[in-house]
Amino acid sequence: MTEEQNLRKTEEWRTWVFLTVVLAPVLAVAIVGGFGLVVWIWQLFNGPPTYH
Amino acid sequence: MRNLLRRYWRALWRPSAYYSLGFLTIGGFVAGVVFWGAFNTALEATNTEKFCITCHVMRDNVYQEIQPTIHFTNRSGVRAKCPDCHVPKDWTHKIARKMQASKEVWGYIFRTIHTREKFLAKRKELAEREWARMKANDSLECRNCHDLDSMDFTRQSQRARNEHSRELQTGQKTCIDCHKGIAHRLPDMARQ
Repeated sequence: MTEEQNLRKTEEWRTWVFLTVVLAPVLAVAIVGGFGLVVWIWQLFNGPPTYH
Repeated sequence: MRNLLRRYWRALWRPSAYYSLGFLTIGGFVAGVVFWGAFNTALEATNTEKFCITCHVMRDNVYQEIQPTIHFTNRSGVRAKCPDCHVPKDWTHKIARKMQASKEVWGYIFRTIHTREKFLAKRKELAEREWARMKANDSLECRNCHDLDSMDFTRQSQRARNEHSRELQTGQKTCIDCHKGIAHRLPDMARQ
């Protein structure tokens, strides 16, 4: 492989690792946490959760 | 630096030249499974009594108080742990409760109820919040174990039998309306 090809392969690997190990988990936690926050705010106005 | 960012930004959107679709898909899938497992493990770890009483406010106050009650010690050895009564089992409300706990982390950091005196001063407010919650969900956490249909009124005391058949069975009252202060001591109700 040429120098340029080698560099591209390294970049692709690092990008993939960043996406799977950092970005996706952080996004997932942020989305679930944000959802919880929205439900909490909803409960502040509409009272505690009812089940029946 | 700008050049580096531009290169990685391009790598992000361009089809891979060196990694197969198989690797990228399966790899992403496996990483997702591992993440979800870890997420739930962490979620459950914060949902244990052991975790609750790592905080001395819980360990020295409410945890001491529940120990002599029937919800902790009894002849059959079935017992309630903190999350059985205080964390909703339903996923949406559990996540909402976990976010509310960020306020408890705040209180922990800024020592809102750090001493016995501060805890007692705030206790009525905290208790009333739990009572309102249990009133609104028709004492769901009680009913997870105590099933009205399985209650044998003939084995209850006269007073309990009267109240349960008149108020509970007709749905006019729910468990928490009468059974307050049964697992932890009541707050000083005269306090504002």
